[in-house]
Amino acid sequence: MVRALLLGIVWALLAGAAASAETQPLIVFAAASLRQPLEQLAPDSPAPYVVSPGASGTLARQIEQHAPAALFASADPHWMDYLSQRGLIAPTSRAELARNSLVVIARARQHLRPLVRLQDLPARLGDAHWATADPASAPLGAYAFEALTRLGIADALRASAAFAQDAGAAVELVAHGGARYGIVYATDARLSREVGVELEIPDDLHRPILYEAAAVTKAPSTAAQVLAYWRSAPARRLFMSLGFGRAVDH
Amino acid sequence: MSLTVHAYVLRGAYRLEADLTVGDGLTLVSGASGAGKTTLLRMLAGLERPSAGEIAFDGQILSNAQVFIPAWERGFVTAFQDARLLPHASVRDNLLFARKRGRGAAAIFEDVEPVLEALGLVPLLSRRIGGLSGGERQRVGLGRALLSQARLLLLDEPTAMLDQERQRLVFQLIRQAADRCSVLVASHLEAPLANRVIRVENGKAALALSCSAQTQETQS
Amino acid sequence: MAPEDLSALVVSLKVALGASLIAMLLGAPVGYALSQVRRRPGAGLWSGLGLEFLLHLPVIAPPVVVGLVLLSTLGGAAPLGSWLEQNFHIQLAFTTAGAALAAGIVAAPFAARAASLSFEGVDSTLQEAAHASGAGRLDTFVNVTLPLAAPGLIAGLLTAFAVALGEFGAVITFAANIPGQTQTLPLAIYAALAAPGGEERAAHLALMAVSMAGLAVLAAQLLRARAQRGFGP
Repeated sequence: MVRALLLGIVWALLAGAAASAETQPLIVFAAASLRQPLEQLAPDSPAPYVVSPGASGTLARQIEQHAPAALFASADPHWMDYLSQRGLIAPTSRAELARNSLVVIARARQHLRPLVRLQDLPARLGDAHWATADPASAPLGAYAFEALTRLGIADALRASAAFAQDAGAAVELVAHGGARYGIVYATDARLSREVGVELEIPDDLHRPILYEAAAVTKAPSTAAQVLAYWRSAPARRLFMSLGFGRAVDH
Repeated sequence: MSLTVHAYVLRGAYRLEADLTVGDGLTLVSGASGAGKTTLLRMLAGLERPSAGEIAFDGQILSNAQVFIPAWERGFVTAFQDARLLPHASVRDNLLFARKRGRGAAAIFEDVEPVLEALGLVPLLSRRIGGLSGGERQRVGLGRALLSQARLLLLDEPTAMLDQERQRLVFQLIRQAADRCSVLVASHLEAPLANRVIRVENGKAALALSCSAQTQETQS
Repeated sequence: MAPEDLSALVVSLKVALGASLIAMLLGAPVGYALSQVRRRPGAGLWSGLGLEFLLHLPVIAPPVVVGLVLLSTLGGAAPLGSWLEQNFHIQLAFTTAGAALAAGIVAAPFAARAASLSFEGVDSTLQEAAHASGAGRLDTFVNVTLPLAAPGLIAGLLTAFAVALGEFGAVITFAANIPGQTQTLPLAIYAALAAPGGEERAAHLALMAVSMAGLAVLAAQLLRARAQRGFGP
């Protein structure tokens, strides 16, 4: 009995390792924050696809190692450039899907004195902490500090910063009282009912937060159809309904 | 056959020097508890390497400064004082363990049943090892050795846990075995059927040369 | 149960089973070697330190690093990976088998430790008895050592299974998060949490993972009882 079980496992694994040539849905490697909109768009897509979420950097490296992705949707233009430089994406297919903006969040129903300007944040914090993603590993943190530096308050806020692994963790820190405020993406603020938006940070304080998508070189022609669909009006409406900013056509 | 030993074991303060030659038949290894009977048997079995000296069997060197034949290649089988049965195997499999590894040599007893009868093992065959009493375990351990193809048997206190009647029967069986292969029995009891006696005392193991009451003539 | 959830469960089962076997294949020999070094007379505090270090390497490194190392050696553009792909059409990265390999490597130290303890605990007097009954080294290993170590080895297999079941970093890095192929329960939970209202689905998936682990414990107990049946009356 044990032998049969072992043989069954080995067979199942080998079946998984062999390349299968049936008609499979396209695999989309997407940044985690894009998972929800792209999955909601999937049923009406001209070609079927599944979303495989991850961190933009990891996904890019995996594509470099011949991961079976047909499309790449990145939260950071840096990684799109990375693949572009290595000739791994079809250059004409690169397009903007949506934008994002930064917001300051706090725990909901707390009735804090309203935060009118971002410059008031250091004074309003006092001894408390504020949360964002670690700038060393997540683009969110980099964008946040870019805005703070532009206003000259980055140094004042560095000591009281609580760095979380990613946006979701930063939201959790604010939701459960570890941090009084947090700077996250507008789309992330909706991740938890426990937090509310205190202030929208003006877009001109940082580089544009771009979400781009492209077809991988040697992707089937259906990939281009999916890209066009993602840029269509109904798709744009969906993105905006989820809190994303409007994509800019070049 | 001829087994010659000129060797000694040195372990810290413990020292045992063995200087003897043994021939066919039944040899009793006698001595007080702790004198070194078990150490001598282990040395002959190949479970312990002497600190110095030489052991040879029928002209083949089993152990000296350069050579050491491991226990499983010597063609000897040992029955231990503490039985040492494999708990995951049946009584039957334990009994046949050595016999299955005889490598084509002739078995001491061609038929298995008479040995099982003599040792009173027939009712135990379907039992598990874990449920056996001390005496039963000892008889199974002895059975394992007697059912093998060994050219030399090393039996360490094979009757210590048996009642007197059983002891008598077992020693008769051992005597039968000794007619076909050589047997060394370590026992602090008397062995009325032995061809010769090795006495172990004061750190020395040697043939008892005197015609004492403990040395018996062979029954021919 | 939603089809995506069922798919994550099936993938997790395949990956964790494969990973626990791989963990044993890698870890048991190391554990055995370690036990032999430690049982030698004269073995002291420092014996086997090199082996111990080797054993703990996958534990010291963050799982993502394990995944990256695998990617850079077995990935499609890497030397060994491309060689396998071109000559044998075997691709490990981004496959279920690759996920099992990544999780197996992370779980191997646990399997090795369990194996080392199991082998160390085998009664050496029984091994001596086997030798003194004509059984050589391999014979004794197969017929004495292995059966006696079996209960502990099965416990090690279960530990490896549990570790592999929860493994995230190495799997998502080497095998990616492909639904139906490599999206295990932890990876599905990560995907679920990336959207508002995902906590419910995440909790659902977590419950499935715990149930699976519970079933595995049950299975392991049954196996161990069978292995130990010969030990009792």
